[in-house]
Amino acid sequence: MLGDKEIIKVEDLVVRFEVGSRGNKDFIVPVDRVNFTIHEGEVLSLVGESGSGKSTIGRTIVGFERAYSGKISLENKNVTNLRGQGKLRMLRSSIQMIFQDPFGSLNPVKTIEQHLTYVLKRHQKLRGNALHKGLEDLLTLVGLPNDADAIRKYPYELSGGQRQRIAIARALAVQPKFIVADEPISMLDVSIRADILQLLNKLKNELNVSFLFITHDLASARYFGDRVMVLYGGRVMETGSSNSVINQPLHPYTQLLIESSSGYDELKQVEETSIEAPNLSYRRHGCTFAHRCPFVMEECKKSEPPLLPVTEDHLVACYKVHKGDEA
Amino acid sequence: MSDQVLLDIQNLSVGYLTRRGMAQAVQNVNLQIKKNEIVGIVGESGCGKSTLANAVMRLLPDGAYITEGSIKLEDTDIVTLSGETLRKFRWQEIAMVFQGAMNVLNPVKTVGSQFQHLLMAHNNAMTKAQALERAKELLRLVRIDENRLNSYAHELSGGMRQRIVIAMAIALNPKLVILDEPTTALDVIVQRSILAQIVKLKEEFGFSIMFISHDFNLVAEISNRVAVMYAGRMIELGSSTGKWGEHVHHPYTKGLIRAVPQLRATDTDEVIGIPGSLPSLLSLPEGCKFHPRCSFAKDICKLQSPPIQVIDEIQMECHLSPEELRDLNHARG
Repeated sequence: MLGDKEIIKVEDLVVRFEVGSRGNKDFIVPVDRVNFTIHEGEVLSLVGESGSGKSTIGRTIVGFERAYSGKISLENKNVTNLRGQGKLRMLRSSIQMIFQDPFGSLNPVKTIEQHLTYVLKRHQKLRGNALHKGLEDLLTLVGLPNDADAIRKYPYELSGGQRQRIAIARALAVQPKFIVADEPISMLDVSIRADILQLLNKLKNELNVSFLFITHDLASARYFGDRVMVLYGGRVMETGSSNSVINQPLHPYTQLLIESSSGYDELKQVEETSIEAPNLSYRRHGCTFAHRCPFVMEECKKSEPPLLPVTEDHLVACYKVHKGDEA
Repeated sequence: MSDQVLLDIQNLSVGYLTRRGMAQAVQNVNLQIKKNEIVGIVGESGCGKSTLANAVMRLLPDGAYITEGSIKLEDTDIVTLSGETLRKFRWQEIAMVFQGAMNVLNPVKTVGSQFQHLLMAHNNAMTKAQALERAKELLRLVRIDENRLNSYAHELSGGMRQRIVIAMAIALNPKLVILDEPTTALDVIVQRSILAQIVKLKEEFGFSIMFISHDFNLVAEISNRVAVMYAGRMIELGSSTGKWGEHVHHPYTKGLIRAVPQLRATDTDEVIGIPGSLPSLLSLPEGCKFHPRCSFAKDICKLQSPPIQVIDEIQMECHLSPEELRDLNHARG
C-alpha cells in the first residue's frame, strides 16, 4: 500500500569521519550529498559494497552517527542530529533499526519476555492485561510461539532465525513508522532467510511500515524493495524502481555489480581495471567510480557527474549515459 | 578434465566426541574427484561440509574422529598418514584456502618472508633468493605487483590478501586445492574476479578443486559437479550443466533454490522458506534426516534411510519415485 505521505526525507546528507592520528589528520566522506524520500509503506533498498556508505546512511538516520551537513526529516519534522534523552526517545518511537547480527543485538541475560515487555511498558505504557495482550499480538505477528515456556527462553536457546524474529518484534513494539533494516538476513542460514524476508514483506503490507533495506545482495534488494539505490564510495550512482534498475542497469558500476552476482549467468571474467577501494577523501574530485570504470573519459576524472533522470523514475550519475542520450 | 580419479572418499564418517555423546558431522559420504575437475559442495552451516574438507586435509581438531571409511589421493591413504609424511603431504599434495583467509597471513611478517618460509620448509635445497624469485612468479600469477612482497598483511586490501593466500596454496603445485568459502567475506565484484582467476589457474596447472560454499548459484556456476550436504549426509550429487535450478533435485535442494530471491526472477516468483530448522547433530531424526522438514515426506521416510537412486545422472538419497521427484519441478509446496 504505497501512500503519498512522505515518511523520511533525506536532503544532501553528508557524513564526515575524522581519520589519521594527531598531526596527520584527515577527513573521509563515507556519505556524500545523498538525497532520497521514502513514502508510507514503501521500501527503499540501499545497495553497495562494503565501504559504499550504505550502513552509515542508516545509522545517521537513527541518530548513531552525526550528519556533517544536510537534513533528515521525519514527516516534515527536522530530526537531524537530535540530542538529549527526550528528543531521542521521541525519534525512536517512530524510527527503529534491525541489525545484521541477531547474536549480538539481543541481551544474553534477558528472556524474550523481558526484551519485549520492557519496550511495551516504556513506549506504549502498557500494564497488566493490556501488556499481556500486547506481548501476545507481537509474538503472533512475527510468527513465534506464545506459550509460557517459549517466552521465558534466553537468546542462546534460540536459533538465528528465531532471534532475528525477536529483534524484529522488539523494533515493532514501539509501533514505528519507519524501520532501518541493516543486512537483516545476511547472517542467517539460507533456508531461514526466505521466512524473514516474507515476514518483512508482511509487515510492509499489513502495517504499512516504511523500510530502508540495506543489503549487498541485489536479488533480495529487488525482491523486497520498491525502489533501489546503488551507492559507490558514498555517492549515489543510480536509483529507480527495482525492476528498471535491476533489469535495465545503466550505470557501468551497476552493470558490473549485476554481472558479478551469482545467478546472473555462466561464470565469466568480468572486465576490471583496478581492484582498489574507492577514494573517500573529502578532497577527491570527479566520479568516485572513475578508477575502475571500463568506459572512463577525461571529464569523469575532473568533475563529478550529476544525478540526472533518464526516464521519470530512473536517475543515473554518469557522463557516458547522458552523452549517449544526446547523440 | 580426465576420467582418472584423483581423490577417492569411500563411506567416510566423522564424529565429534562431546559430553552429550558422539555428534555425527559427516555420515557415510562417498565422493570421487577426478583430475582437473571442480566439485562444489554446498550446504548450510553445520551440514558437515567444512568437516569433510578438514578430514581430507587431516586437519580435524582434537575430539573429532574418522570413525569409518577411507580417503585416498591416488595411491596414498590419507587416513593413516602421520608425522613427517603427513607434514610433507599437506600443502605439497593438497592445499587449502580457508574461510576468512584474510586472517591466515601472519601480521608481523612480510608477505615475502611468509612465501620463503613456506617454500623452503618443503624444499631443503631451495635458497632464500630462489624462494623470493618463485614468490614473485606466484604473485604475477594472481596479478599482484611483486613489490607487495615487502608489505605486511594490514597494508593490503581483503581481495589482495585473498589472492596472496591463493598464490600460497598453489605454490607447491598441489594436485588438489580445497577452497573453503574462499570469497565469502569479499564484495561480489572482487569475488567474481578471484573465482574466474582460480578457474584459469586450474586450467593452466591442471589441479582439481573442491569448492565449498553456501552460495548455491555460485557453486553451480563454477563447478563441474555439485554435491549437496544436509545433516552430515551427501543427499545429492550431480553434474551442474545448464540451468541448475531446472534439473531434477532432492526436495531439500529444490527448497533451497526456492528459498533465495533470484536476480532474474519475475514478480510472480515467490520466495518460499523451508519449514523448521536444522536438526541437532546429537539427536538426528530416524530415517531420512530431512523428513521432519520435507513437505513430501511419506511414512517410509520416517523409518528407513533412503536408498541412493540415479535420475538424469543426478544421484540422490530420497524415497520419492523418479516421477514424484520430477513433479517437484512444477509443484509449489
